[in-house]
Amino acid sequence: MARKSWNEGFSELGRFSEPALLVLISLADGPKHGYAMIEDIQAVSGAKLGPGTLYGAISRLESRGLIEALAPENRRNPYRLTAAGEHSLRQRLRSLAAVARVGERRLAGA
Amino acid sequence: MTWLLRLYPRGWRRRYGAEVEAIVASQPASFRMVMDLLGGAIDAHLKPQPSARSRREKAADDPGGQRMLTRLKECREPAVDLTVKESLLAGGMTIGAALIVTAILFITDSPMAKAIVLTMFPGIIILPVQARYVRGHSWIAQALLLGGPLVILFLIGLAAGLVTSR
Repeated sequence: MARKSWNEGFSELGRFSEPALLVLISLADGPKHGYAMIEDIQAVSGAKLGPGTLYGAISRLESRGLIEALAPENRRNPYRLTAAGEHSLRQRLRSLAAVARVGERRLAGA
Repeated sequence: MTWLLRLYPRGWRRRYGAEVEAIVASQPASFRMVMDLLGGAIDAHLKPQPSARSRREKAADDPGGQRMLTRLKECREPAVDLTVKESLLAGGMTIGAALIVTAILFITDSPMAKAIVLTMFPGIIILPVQARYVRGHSWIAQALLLGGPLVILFLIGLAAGLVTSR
């Protein structure tokens, strides 16, 4: 049986795969609007996403049903993870952890 | 710097424009942000993302017989959602088809050739607009839906040519 790609489901997002992962991680602890996501992502990863990149990722995640918009608050739409988004994020984090473990093991043995 | 948002497609602005405008207005202008917004605008034109929410809302707001009417209204202004690439293709095909038809009409005296090119000309120039409706479907479906009408127009032109030649 063919081994699943570690980047499965995210590779099709192209240059937005990393911002999309950061958005999913940001929404993992509850709904947030765009500005809150930018600040949270910067605090978590050090990466400051521009609005063009952030909404490129949001539109892709929303069209794939991985996140959904809630009712607007003062021109701001909060977004939350859907069940499919949570599942996708868990799978992706597990894949990343597995790849990281292999890398660390090899470095330790070098 | 919110003027940069005018570079985004209309559908995108309707969906995300107010949110992004609020973020842009709250941050200091910088070269990095200009480049980010420009990159986002190009991406939004080249790879438009269908909105899952707008699809659901449309289905909920537009039940039963109203759907066909809405679809017909969308067909009335089909060029609205064309991407930059499709718009360029449409312009190129219109100019190209017009030049070819003019050249054929000048070169040939054959009533058959004239009948065929004149009948097919409208079909060729609206082909890129028709293509908007079938994008994303399999290549067989696209070939049938886009090539089918052209074949029918060709046959009509052929019949007209045969009648004229007699």
